[in-house]
Amino acid sequence: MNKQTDFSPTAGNLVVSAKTEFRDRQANEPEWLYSFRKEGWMRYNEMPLPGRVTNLWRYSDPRLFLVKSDSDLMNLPLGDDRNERGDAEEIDPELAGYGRNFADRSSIFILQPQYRRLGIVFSELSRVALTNPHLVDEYLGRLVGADFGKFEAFNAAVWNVGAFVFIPDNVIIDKPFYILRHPAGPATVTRLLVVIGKNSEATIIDDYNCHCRHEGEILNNVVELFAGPNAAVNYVQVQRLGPEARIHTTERLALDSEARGRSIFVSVGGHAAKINAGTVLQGKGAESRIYGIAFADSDQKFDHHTYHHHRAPNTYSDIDFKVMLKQKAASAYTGLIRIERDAPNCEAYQENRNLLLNEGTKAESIPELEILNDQVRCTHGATMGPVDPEMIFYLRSRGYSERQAVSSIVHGFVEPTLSKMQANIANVARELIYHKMQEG
Amino acid sequence: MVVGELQNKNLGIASIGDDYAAQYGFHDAEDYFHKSPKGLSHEVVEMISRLKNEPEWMTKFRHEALDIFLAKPMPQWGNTELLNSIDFSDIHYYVRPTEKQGRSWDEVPENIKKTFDRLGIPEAERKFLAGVSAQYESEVVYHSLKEDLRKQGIIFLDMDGGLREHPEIVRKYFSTVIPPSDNKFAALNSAVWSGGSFIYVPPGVDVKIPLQAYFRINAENMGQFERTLIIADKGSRVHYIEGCTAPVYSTNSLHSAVVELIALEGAYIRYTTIQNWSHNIFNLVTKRAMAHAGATVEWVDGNLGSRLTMKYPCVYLVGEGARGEILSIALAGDGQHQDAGAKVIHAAPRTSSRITSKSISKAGGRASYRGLVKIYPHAHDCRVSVECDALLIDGASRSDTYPTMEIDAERVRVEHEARVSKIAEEQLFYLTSRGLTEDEARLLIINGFIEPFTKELPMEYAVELNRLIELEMEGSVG
Repeated sequence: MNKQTDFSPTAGNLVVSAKTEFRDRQANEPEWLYSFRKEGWMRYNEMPLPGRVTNLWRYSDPRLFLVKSDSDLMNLPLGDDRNERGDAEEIDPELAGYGRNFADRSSIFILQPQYRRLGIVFSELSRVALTNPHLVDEYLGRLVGADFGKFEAFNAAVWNVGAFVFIPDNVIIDKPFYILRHPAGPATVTRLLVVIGKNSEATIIDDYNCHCRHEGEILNNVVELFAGPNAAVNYVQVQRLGPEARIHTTERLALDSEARGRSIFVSVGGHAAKINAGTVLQGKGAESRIYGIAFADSDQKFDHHTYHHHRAPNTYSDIDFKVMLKQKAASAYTGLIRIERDAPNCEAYQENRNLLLNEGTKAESIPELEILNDQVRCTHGATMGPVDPEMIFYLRSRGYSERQAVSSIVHGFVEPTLSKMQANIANVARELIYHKMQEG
Repeated sequence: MVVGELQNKNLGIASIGDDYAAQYGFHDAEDYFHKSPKGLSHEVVEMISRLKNEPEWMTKFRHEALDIFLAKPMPQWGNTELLNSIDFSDIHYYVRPTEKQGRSWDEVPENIKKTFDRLGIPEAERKFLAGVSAQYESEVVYHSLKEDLRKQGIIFLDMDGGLREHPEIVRKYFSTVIPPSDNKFAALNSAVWSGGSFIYVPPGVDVKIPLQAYFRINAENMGQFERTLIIADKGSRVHYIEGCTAPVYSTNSLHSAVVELIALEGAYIRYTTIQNWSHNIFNLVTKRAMAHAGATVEWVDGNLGSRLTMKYPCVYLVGEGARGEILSIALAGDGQHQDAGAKVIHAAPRTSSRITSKSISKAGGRASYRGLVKIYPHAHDCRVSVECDALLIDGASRSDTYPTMEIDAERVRVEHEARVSKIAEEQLFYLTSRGLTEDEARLLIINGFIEPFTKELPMEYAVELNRLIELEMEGSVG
C-alpha cells in the first residue's frame, strides 16, 4: 500500500532544508540570473512533493529524485568553459558542432569553422549568461520555470552547467549539433536552452552518458526549446546513463506559427528515469511529432510522460511511443493531449505500444485526452502484449532459432517507429536496442 | 479484504467499540423521526437501524462505516470542485416512505412534466417518478410473475426485506464486494443505506425474463442511498434492469448507491441501468461485481441526467475463465459533468474483458471516460479490449479520456483505442442530399453512434432512449 506512505517533505531521512536562505549574489553573476535562481529556491522550498494521486506521479516515488544536500550545490560556482576558444580541436566533419558538459562542470563547445560567421551561438549555458545575457534572459525559464514544479524549481535555483544553442533567422543547418552530457556524483543539475529563429532549421542531439555505478546518483535536467515562425527543429534525446543513475528530465518545445518540431526520445539507461516531454503548439499551423523508444531490463523503472498542448488553430500532433521490457523491468507511460477551446481544426494522434519480452515485467499505459473543442480529429491507441507464441512457432518452423525469432519480432515492433527518424539517428537507436537485446 | 483491514488500521479505527447503542441509542425513535433531522451522526445511524429493526451486526456495521466515512478524506481526483461543494450536514439521510408524499404535482418543474409527456409515460408512473407518490403500484400487474419466480426459488425483494427474511444469505455476502473502507461514498452508503434490490438465484436456474426494479412491492427503490445485492449461484442466469429513461425528479441533491453483484462459478449476470436524474443531483455510485470461474458479468450503463455523475462499474475476474463486459453511454449537456467509466481487474488466468464507452458532449457539457484495467501477476493469457468513442456536438463542450492500464502479467493482450470527433460534414452532406433536414440527419448519426449500446437494451427501453436522445438534442444542433 505505497499510497498510504507519508510523502510530506520531511518524510524519511531526506530532509529538505526548508529554512536555508539562498546564498548571496556571486561576483560575476548578473542580477536577473540571481533573482531567477532565488525565485526558484523560494518556490522549491514552498512546494510540497508532488502528490501521488495524480497520474504523473502515480508510478514513481518523487523522493527518489530529491537531492540530499542541496545547500552544497547552491554554493558551487558557475561552470567554466575549459576550452573557451574551441577552434583548436577538430571535430567530426559530419557535425555542425560538438559540445560536452563534463562531470566536473567544465565544458568544451566547438563549432565547425564554416558556421562561425552566421551568428550562431553554441556554448556552455552559464557562460553565455555572462557574455550574451540578453539572449539567455529572454528565454530562460519561459517554458520550464520555477512555477513548473518542485524539481523544476530546484533546477532553476541551482543549475550550474548546461548548453546553449542559438540559430538566427533564415539559417538552415543540415548537420546536427551534438552535445554530450556527462553527469557524475550525487547530483548533477543541468539545463539546455535552444532558440531557433524564423525560417531556420537545426538538429540537436542531446546525449546523456555516464558510468553512474554508485547508488543514488541524481541528474536533474531541464530542456527548453523555442522554434520561431516557420522554423524546423529536430530534437533528439538519447538517455544511456549508467545503471544506478536516477534521472528527472523535463523538456518543453514551443512551436510558433507554421513551425515544425520533431522530438525523439531514446531511453535505455539509468535505474529510475522520470522523463516529462512536451510540445506546446503555440502558433497557427504548427506541427509536432514525438517519437519514443524505451527499452528497460533488469530492475529498471521508467516513467515517461508526453504532452501535446494545442493552443492554436490548425495545429497537428502525432505521438508514437514504443516500450520494450525485459527481466524485471517496469515502465509507466502517461500521455496527455489537450486541445484548447480557441484552437479549432486540430488533428492529434497518439499511439503507445508495449512489448513484454518475459514474465515478471510490468507496464502501465495511460493515454489521456482533454478536448475542449469540437472541430478536431483526435485518436489514441495503446496496446500491451507479449511476444506472440504463434509468431515464434511460425518462425521456428521456418528454421529460425528462438533468439532469431524473438529478434525479428522486436525488429517488426520498433522499425515502424525508427523509420520515422532520420537515418543516422535511427541507427544509433537501433544499435542501443539490439545491443540491449543481446545482453543477459 | 486485506486492503480494507489495512486502511482501517491506517485510519486508526480498527478498535471500534461495540457500545454504540449505549452511547447513541434513542428509545423514542418514532418521535425523533417525525422531525427528520438533517445532518449525519451516530444518533441518526442508530435511529435508521432501530427503525428498521435490524439485527445487531448490521447496526454495528453501519456505525463502523460512519466512522470510516468521517475519517476518509474527499477524493482528490475527478471534479474536486463540485465534490467539495457537497454539504453533508444539509442532507436528510433517512426519510420514511410516508413522508415522501408531502410534495404535490404542482411543485414538479415544468420541463420534467413536459418530458414525461413526450416520452409517453403513464400517469401513475409519472407521479412516482416525480416523487409525488411513494411508489409505483405494480403488485397487481406483476402478481403472476412473482408467483412464477417464487416457484423457482428465486428471491427478489427490496434490500430491507432481504435482510429481514433471509438474514443468513445477506450476512454471508453483504459488503464482501464493496467494503465500507473502499471509498468515502461507499462508507456513507454503508452507514445510511436504505432500499435497493436483493436478488438470489439458486444454482442452475435461468431467469427467463429480465427482473426490473419496478416489480418490487413496497420498495423505496428510488432511494438516495440504495443498496443492491445480487447473487447468482452456480450456473444460473439473471438479467436485472434498474432505473428508466424518464427523468427522475428529486429535491435530494446527493445520491450515493452501492451495487454488489456476485456471479458464482459459471453464472451469468447482466445489470442494465439507465439513469436520468434531474440536473441538480450528484450521483456518486459504487458498482462492483465478482465473477468466479467461468462466470460472466455484463454491465450496461447509461448516464443521461444529474449534475455530476462519478460512476465506474467494475468487474473483478477472480476465477479462471471469467468474463467481464462493460458497455456504457454518457450524455453531458449544459452544466453537466459525466465522469463515468469502467474498471476491470483480472486476478485469474484466462480471463477476458471488453469495455465499450460512448460519450456525447453538448451545450457546454463535459463527458469524461475514466477507466482502469489491471492485470495481476499470474493472471496470464488474459485478453482486454477497451474502446472509447466521444462525440462533441459543439465548440463549447468538452471530452476527456483518462484510461489507466496496469499490466503485471505475461502472455496478455491489451488493446485500447479512443476517438474524439464531431459529426462528419460528409455524412451530413450525404444525408441532407437524400432529403433529410439537417436536424434529422444529425439525429440519425447520433443514433448510429450509440447503436452498439441501444441494441443491448430491451426493446421498450431502446425506443424510450432514442426518443429521449431526440428530445435532448432538440435545438442544440444546427
